[in-house]
Amino acid sequence: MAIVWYILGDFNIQFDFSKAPGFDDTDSVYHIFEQLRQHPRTSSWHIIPAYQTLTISYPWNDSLDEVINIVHESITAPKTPKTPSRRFLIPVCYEGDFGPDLPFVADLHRLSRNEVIRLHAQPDYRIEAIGFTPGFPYLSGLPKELITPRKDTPRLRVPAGSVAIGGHQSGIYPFSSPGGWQLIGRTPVILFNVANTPPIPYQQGDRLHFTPITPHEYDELLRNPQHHDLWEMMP
Amino acid sequence: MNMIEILKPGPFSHIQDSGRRGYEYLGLSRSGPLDFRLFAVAQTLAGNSWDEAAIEMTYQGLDFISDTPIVFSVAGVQDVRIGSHLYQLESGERLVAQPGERISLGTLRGQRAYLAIRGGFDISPVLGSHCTDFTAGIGGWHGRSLRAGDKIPIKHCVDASISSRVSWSQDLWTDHSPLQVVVGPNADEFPASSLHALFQGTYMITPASNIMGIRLQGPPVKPRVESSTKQSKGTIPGAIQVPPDAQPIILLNQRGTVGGYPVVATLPSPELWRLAQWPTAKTLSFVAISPAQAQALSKKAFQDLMTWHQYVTDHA
Repeated sequence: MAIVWYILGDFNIQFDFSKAPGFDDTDSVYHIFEQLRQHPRTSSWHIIPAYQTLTISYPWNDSLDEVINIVHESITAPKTPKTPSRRFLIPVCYEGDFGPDLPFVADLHRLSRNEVIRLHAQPDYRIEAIGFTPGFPYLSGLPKELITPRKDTPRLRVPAGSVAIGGHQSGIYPFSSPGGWQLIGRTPVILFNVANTPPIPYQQGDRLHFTPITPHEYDELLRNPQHHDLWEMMP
Repeated sequence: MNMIEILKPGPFSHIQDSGRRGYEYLGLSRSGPLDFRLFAVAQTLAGNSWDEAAIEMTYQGLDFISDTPIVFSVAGVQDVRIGSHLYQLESGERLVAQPGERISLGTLRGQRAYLAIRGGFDISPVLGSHCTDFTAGIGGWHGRSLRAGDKIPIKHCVDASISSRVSWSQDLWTDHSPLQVVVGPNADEFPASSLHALFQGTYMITPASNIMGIRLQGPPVKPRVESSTKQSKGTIPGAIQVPPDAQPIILLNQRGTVGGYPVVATLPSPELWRLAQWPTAKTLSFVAISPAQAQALSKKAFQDLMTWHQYVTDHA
């Protein structure tokens, strides 16, 4: 199978690489995205890389053939060495109201709450995509013991900073928004800041590691204006 | 300092420009006006570039005053009062007001209308745009909708006079023919009976609709069960996505940028603009067109707008 693409509405095109040999991870699609972003003709495009898909909106006066040619150039461009993956430590309070669905997750898997916390805070998660809301990281690497279906009825308002499980993925809600994932903890760290360039410190391919903290530590971090320093970045 | 003061904000008024570019890969949506055509009409009449910021009003107009003479335009408002004069307007018109005169924008012709002021607003862009993003709470005026008492700086206007009378009179809000959509890209995730339901049924716009999406209620468009296991993909405004409850949601500019629900069909831009003006009490329905027809439809809409823009600019 080759690369498949679809026209969406009028001037939008979605490329699906999931059936194409050689594009079996999110890195290869993100590489195409990076190439595209640097192309002089794409400054007015909207480009969304997500897993094995690339979704593009282009201006009405660009031609579809041109767009496909530019994407083709980016696919065949020689691979530039990828920036090394970085690792961020995210402090999370898993206690009480911070993790309203933690008891549900524990009961479903016949685990104690502490075992759920230990398991969730154990691995390094990998950022596969960013989106839904600004800075929301779609994380792979959730221990099998914690795979939990989404809620049947999504919450209308998930608090900002919520750390959640949705199926086989984990994620963080940087902003208060509706959401259907199981909420098991909350981070006091501000993930999205327009004063920074880019406004989100991590990107696709980076790793996140969760560190359990107490409610007292949560409050301290929330009060401390320097709490961004607690982002420990490791090679 | 030159500024306008909001006296009555209307139910939901906020600042938008032509859109925020280059951040959807981080989850920050493109934002921008819901009825781009009417927004561009207002900007053109004001003598502005389409990249300037304007105010989008929803359901009802707003009241404001200026501390300096201004040329402004309104598009999509029926009646405007300036001081003691009441004007019944065409779809879009250019007006002047003196300092301290109360300007009341009344009933809208559709659901959304635009106010542009010659020169534009003198506010700092956030991440390259003046658009208010309600999820991130950034851009526009302090990242929120306008309130009474807001004093918004405007750029100095060199020529506060109108030399000629120009207006826009195309009627956009009385066309309630079925919305034209392109089937897909995930039509294969729906059984034939669901597609049949979508194109035979009529739908109501529910009150749960917001700036992220228009939620419909009507005949269920049930996706196949396997569909729920698919990986998330990038989304676009105009996509009709269907969650497991089988009630369609039409995504707008401020949608989530990534989503996992299957997209049964997609509206081209001009149909999305028409939807933005759709009366909440009126049912809507869909008819399928080909991608080529959708592109031709959109191309013509943009070309007509450009031609009119050029005409107005040349005769200003």
